[in-house]
Amino acid sequence: MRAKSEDTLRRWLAAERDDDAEAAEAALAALFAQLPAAAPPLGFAARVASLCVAGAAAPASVGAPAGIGAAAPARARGPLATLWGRLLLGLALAGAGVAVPFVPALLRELFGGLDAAALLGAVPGLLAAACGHLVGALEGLLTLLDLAGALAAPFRSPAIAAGLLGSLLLGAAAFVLLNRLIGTDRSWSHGHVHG
Amino acid sequence: MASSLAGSERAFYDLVRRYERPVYALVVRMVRGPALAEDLAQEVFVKAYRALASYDPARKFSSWLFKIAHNTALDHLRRQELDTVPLEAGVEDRRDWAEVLIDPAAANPEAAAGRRDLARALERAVGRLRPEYRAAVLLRFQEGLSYQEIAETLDQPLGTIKTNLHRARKALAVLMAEAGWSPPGETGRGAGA
Repeated sequence: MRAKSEDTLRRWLAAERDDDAEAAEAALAALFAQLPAAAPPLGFAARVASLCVAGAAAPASVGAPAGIGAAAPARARGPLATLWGRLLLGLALAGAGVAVPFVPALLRELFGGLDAAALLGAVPGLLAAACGHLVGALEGLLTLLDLAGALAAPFRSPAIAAGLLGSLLLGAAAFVLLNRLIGTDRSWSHGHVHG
Repeated sequence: MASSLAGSERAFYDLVRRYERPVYALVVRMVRGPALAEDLAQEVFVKAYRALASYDPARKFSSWLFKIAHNTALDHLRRQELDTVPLEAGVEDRRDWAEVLIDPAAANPEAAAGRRDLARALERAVGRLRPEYRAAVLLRFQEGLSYQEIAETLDQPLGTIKTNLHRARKALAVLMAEAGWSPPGETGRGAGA
């Protein structure tokens, strides 16, 4: 016994052959209705709804890039999530374990002969050295500002500024044009049935 | 809709439940990959959720949602250049499709198998159409949208939709005949008594 859907298929194909558009439309619609429908897996709606509502807490825009990775809330990745992180932590722990027996001797070596009075006496010298470094850094910053001013000087001329602006606009226009050309060039016609 | 706009998870869940099948069915037949379609359908609903504030209630919600689904599938096809599908699907693909296709009307295993074969042949034929034809065919014959609704969904003039659907139908018939499903009076699988 032939299935009902096959009868509908025959009806549709016959209508197409006879150029009966109305009958062909009706038969094809009936055929789609008779065939098994595609359905998402169980739990799809719950998953999507919770994802959407959870994701809504994070700032997002409608024009977000396609791909669920962009839409889904980012999963927090701790430092131990990677193999390197775990390896580094393991090495650090092993190193600390090996070093433990040597810690008392090391402390004695470092601070054994330390004198509090000598330590206090060294503070003004350390402060003076820090101030010296700060002044040096400020001088460096001022030099950089002078350099930036010297580089910007030509652009204060209206002709040069206009030229630069023109070049930028031309570049942007060329980019947009190229982008459109590339977009149009990606034709859908290859390998398709045109009817 | 108002409660969905307010961000109620329950309300949005109901909305997803209501439209998950048509959206998934459209996407899966556009991209022809059940697992991929699941990701893309999810993306459709996420995009819809984020864009709910811009939804115009004067428009039909399903058309708006189908438009997002169509654009998402098309974006994917453009990215992946998956504009056509292989003539013969692999074993894994067939298994995936068997899981996706539900057939509550199956009276007996033989009839169900026949219907599945026909459904697969039609899937393949639809998959070989140009994407704009494919979308129009699915929206018209699978989702039952009117020409006007399809025009709004696909952002195309009404005349273009009518022409595309006419050509798509003819192309589908040719593809089905090539696959061995012929009209009465001709040799082929569909020609048997």
